[in-house]
Formats: sequence, C-alpha cells, structure tokens
Amino acid sequence: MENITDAQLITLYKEGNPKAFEGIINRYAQITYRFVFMMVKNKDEAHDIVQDTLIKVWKNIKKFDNNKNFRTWIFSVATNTTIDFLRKRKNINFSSLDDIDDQNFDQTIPDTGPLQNELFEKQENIELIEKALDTISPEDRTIILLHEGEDMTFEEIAIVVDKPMNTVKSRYRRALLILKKYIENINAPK
Amino acid sequence: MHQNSIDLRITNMIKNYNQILPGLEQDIISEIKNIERRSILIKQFIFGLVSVSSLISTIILALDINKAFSLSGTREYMSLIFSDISILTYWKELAMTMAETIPFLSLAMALGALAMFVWSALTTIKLQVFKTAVI
Repeated sequence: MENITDAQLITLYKEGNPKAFEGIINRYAQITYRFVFMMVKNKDEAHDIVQDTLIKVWKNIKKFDNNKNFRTWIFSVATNTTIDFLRKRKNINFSSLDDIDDQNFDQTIPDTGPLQNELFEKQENIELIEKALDTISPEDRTIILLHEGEDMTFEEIAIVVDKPMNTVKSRYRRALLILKKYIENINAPK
Repeated sequence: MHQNSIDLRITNMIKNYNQILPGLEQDIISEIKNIERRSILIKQFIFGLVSVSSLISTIILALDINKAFSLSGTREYMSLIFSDISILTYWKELAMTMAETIPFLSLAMALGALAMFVWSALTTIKLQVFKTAVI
C-alpha cells in the first residue's frame, strides 16, 4: 500500500477493497494527530478528534472527487472538527500546559536516546512553542501549523480553511509576527 | 538576519514537535468496524422484519387467491377445457370469461409480496455474508 497514491487508494476502496481505507488511516492518522494535538494540546481530546475526522472522511469518501487533493480535504475536515471542538470547549485562547500530563511529555520526545541537555532543550522548545501558539487564535494557529508543520502552500491552506489566499497570507504574516514577538520577549535578557 | 533566525527557529520548533500516539490507527479501524457492525445489525433487523412480514403477507394472499379462485369458478372453466376440448372452438369467449374470473388484484399483491420476501431475504443473507467476510 506504501507505493500507491491517495487517489489509487480511494479508487480501490470505492471498488470494494476495504483494506484500502486502512491504508488511508495508516497514512494519515499520525499526521493528522500531530496537527490536532498542537491545536488542542490534550492527548485524549486529540485522539477523539482524529478518530472523528477519519470517520467523517470514511463516511463521505464515496462522494469525494478523486481529481481533488485528498490531503487538503482531510486537513480541512480535521481543521473544522478541531475548531468546532475548541469552540465548544470555550477557553479557546487560554488552554494551558496544565492540560498535558507527564505521559504526553514522554511521548513528545522520540525515544532515540539523545543527550540529557538535548532532551532538556527539546522540552524547553516544546513548552515555548506551545505557549507561543496559545497567544494566537485557533484559526491563525491552523494556518501557521499547516504552513510550517505540514509544508502546505498558501493556496492549499486557503482551500483547507475556506478563505481567500490573500487573507491566509496576511493572517499568516500577522500570526508569525505575534509568535516572533513572544519568543523574543521570552528570550530577552532581564 | 536575526529575524530570519527566529523564523527558522519557529519552523524548527513546529517541525520537531513529533507527536505520535501508538495504537491510534488500530483504534480508528476498530471504531469504524464497530460502526459498520452496528449499521449492518440495524439493516439486518429491518430486512429481517420485512422478510417475515412479506412472507406472512404472501401466505395470507395465497390463501385469499385460492379462496377467490374457488368462488369465481375459474377452476370449473379449467376442468371444462380438459374434459371437453371442443370448447376451445370458442376460445375467445372462453378467454374473456376466464379473464373476468381471475382475481388479478390479489394475484398482483401476492406476487409483489413474494418479490419483497425474496429481495429482503437475499439482502439479509448478503449482509450476513458481508459481516462475516469484512467485520
């Protein structure tokens, strides 16, 4: 299944091969999880959102136009599901690191046996980027994460968030500026 | 230069944020199978109900047709054909008379109920096969 394109997997599934959707799940579950986790910063909530996302995709895949970009579509479903969830949670801009238990931090760091100071630096960076991302709105966070984390073009992001490309670009610039300021302030000598 | 290094740092921080949740894929596959199983069970229940009710309807209508045939005298006309073949000389009149005695409505309803029974029973079996094969 690894050498098959998304479009081929979808065609296989539509033709009645149930294993093809498992291929899609194996390909996208962790990628989507990474994005969703950075949005909600809670392991269980991110798990449920990714599960909801892929179930929505599964239910609608037969209607999906195979000429369109599947990755963009799946991220658009994930984004909408996450933003809906965050709206329900209400404390959109005030989610804190307290939500993350120790287990999450363990899983954040890949088990490749890095040196203690590298580990510490990585941990610091995680905390820093999480706090910085908390200072921007979920919509802006989505744009930043898709561009920086998933290497999506502004054109693709515009499709995902269903906004004009110029709006996406200006929101990206504004959000990046806020992040930079935050990091500069943290790093500024006191 | 300083700005660029911060840009790069932000990019790296996001890229290095490698969240992995072991077993997530299996959880999703299991959940989808549960949804499929539930949906098949509901469909099987509905189609099973349709099968049983259409079978009962077919039996009731078959009995009704039998009664209607007895009362209408179609059987007598049929036996007349077999006992006296010469009656076929008046086949047009005979056909018209017989056509009037056949309970078409009950017959159509019985055939409809029978078709419904065959279709729903086959669908129930197909769903069972799918459930066994896929889930």
